[in-house]
Amino acid sequence: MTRNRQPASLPTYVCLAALTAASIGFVYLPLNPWRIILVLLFALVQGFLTIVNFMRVRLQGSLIWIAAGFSFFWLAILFSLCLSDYLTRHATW
Amino acid sequence: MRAGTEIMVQEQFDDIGQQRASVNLGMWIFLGTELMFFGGIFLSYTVYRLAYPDAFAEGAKHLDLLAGSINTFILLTSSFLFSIAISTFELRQRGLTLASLTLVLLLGLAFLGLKGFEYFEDWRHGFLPGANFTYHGPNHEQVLLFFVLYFIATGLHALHLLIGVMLTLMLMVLVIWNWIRPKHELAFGVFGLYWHFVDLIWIFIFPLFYLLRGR
Repeated sequence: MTRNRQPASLPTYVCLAALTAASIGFVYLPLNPWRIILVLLFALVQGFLTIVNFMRVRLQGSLIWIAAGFSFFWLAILFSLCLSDYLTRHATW
Repeated sequence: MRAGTEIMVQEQFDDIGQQRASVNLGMWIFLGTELMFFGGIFLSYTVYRLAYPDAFAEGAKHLDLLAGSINTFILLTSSFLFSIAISTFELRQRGLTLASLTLVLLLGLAFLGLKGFEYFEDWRHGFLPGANFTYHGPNHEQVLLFFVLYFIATGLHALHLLIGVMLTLMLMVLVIWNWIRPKHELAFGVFGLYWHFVDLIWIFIFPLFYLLRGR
């Protein structure tokens, strides 16, 4: 942990709150079928902001970037291999 | 342990920088395993959401959006306050650290209380999976599946948050009774990572279960 280097906590918090409020607002707007895409996109941005600023990855060395990145790489493998099975079970080719 | 530096260096490390990097890396690897743990739940949700989109949208309509939204803001605020607590701890501002941690603790308890109220309402309306599940609309089995995943995801998240609340309480005790013991500084940052991770998981649980009410 890098000391005495302040991450941008307040702007991050404001962004996270605004994105949450916008996502909630999408529920009441006739946005189908884009609602799912927008809501998930906003969640991804929120997750990125949390990891980079609140979890201070922005201030860390390359080793932590690699460790954090590989966590999501394993998750991507889990999703891609599993969904490649489920999404193609009824394919006719 | 060897004294002489600001933070006591464990004997297996050459210096405090190496110790700090190791502790941080260890926590990130642990969080990676936690991400895979919750990833399985998110994957299950994705598979069944793709298979039964109408039933999942219908199930989501029966969740309390207001309570979920309030809980989301509660967690975001607590995460912000925990980052403040870490910064003030590093600057040796005891009062602000304690105040921030107290608010984090209260917000954590508020989240759990509101979640408990939500569970009670779900049970009262017959949405608790089991013999008393009383949803009478179409796609009964698929809506039941939605609620099974909902209770697993939110229940495990609440369990993690409960652990976080206990760790926060422990940190508060350390700050009050053993203030400025440098060896706690690394623990402070690691616990902070854990709290932010719990927040991160909720950032995805909330839209997936509460907000996706239509196709």
